[in-house]
Amino acid sequence: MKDKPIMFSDAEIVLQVLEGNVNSFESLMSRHKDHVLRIVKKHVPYSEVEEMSQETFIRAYQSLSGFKSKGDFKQWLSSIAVRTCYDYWRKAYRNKEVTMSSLTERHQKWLEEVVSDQPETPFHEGDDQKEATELLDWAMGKLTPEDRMVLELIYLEGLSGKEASDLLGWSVANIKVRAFRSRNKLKKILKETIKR
Amino acid sequence: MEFIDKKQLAKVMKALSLAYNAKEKMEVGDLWQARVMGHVLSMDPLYAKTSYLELLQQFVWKLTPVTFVLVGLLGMALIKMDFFSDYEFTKAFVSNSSDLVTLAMYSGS
Repeated sequence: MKDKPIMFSDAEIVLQVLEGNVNSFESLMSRHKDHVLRIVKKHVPYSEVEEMSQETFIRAYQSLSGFKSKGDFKQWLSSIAVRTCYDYWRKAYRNKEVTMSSLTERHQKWLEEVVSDQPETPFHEGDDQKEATELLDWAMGKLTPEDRMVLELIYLEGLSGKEASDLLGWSVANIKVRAFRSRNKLKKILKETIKR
Repeated sequence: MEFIDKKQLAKVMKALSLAYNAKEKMEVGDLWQARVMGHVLSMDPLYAKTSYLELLQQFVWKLTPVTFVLVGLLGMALIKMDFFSDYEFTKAFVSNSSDLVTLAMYSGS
C-alpha cells in the first residue's frame, strides 16, 4: 500500500522555511498563487500582474518571521498582496507612469445608458464590459492611490470597512472617511463625463 | 443630463463593479513559479537573520530580572554602607587640626 503524502499546515511549512528549509516555500506558493493572482489582477494593469504577484511572494518570504503561527496565512498573504498593489500605484503616481487613456463617445454613450431612467439596464458581456472596464480605468487614473484602493475594496469588491482596514493596515475610521470621499470624487468625475 | 443622483450612481457603480469583477482569469505557468523560487533561493536564508535577532532579544529579556535584582541589591548596599571621604577618614585618626592641614598639603588633597 502506498503511503499518503504528509500534508503540512501553512504554519508548519512557515516554520520549516524559518528553520532553513527554503525549498518548502515552494509548496506555500503552489497552494496560494491562484489566490494571490486573483487579488493582484483586480488592482493592477494586466501587464503588471505577474511582476506584482512575484513581488508579493518575495515580500511574504522576507516577512515570514513576522507571521504569527496562530493566524491565517491566506489572510496574511492577502494583506501583503493588497499592500504590494497599493505600493505599485504609489510608485506609478510618483513617477507619473499612470497612463491616462482618453474617453470616446462610446464610453459616454455607455454611461448615459446606464444612468438613464430605464428600470434595469442590462449589462452585457463583451463590448459593454470592455467599455465599462476602460471607463473604470480612466476614472481610477484620476484618483489618488489611496482613494483608488479604498474605492476598489469597498465599493467594487464589496468588502466591509473592517476587512479593508485589515488588508491595508489603516484604521477603520480612515477607511470610512476615504471611502466616502473617494465615492464623491468618482461621482464628480462621472458627472463631468456626462456633461461633456 | 447634468446630474447623477444616488440611485443613478448606484447603477453606475453596480455596472462598474460587474466589469471590475469580471476581469479575465489569469494563470501563471511553472516557469513563473520557478523564477520566483529562484529569486527566493538567491536571497539570504531567513533563519540566520532571525536567529541572531531572536537570540539577542531572548538574551536581553532573560537578563532583565537579573539586572533588576542587581540594581536593587546595589541600592540597598549603598544605603546601608557608611561613606567616609579620605579627609574624614584621616580626621578620625589625627586629633590635632594643624597636623591634618600638614598632612593634607603633603597628600595633595
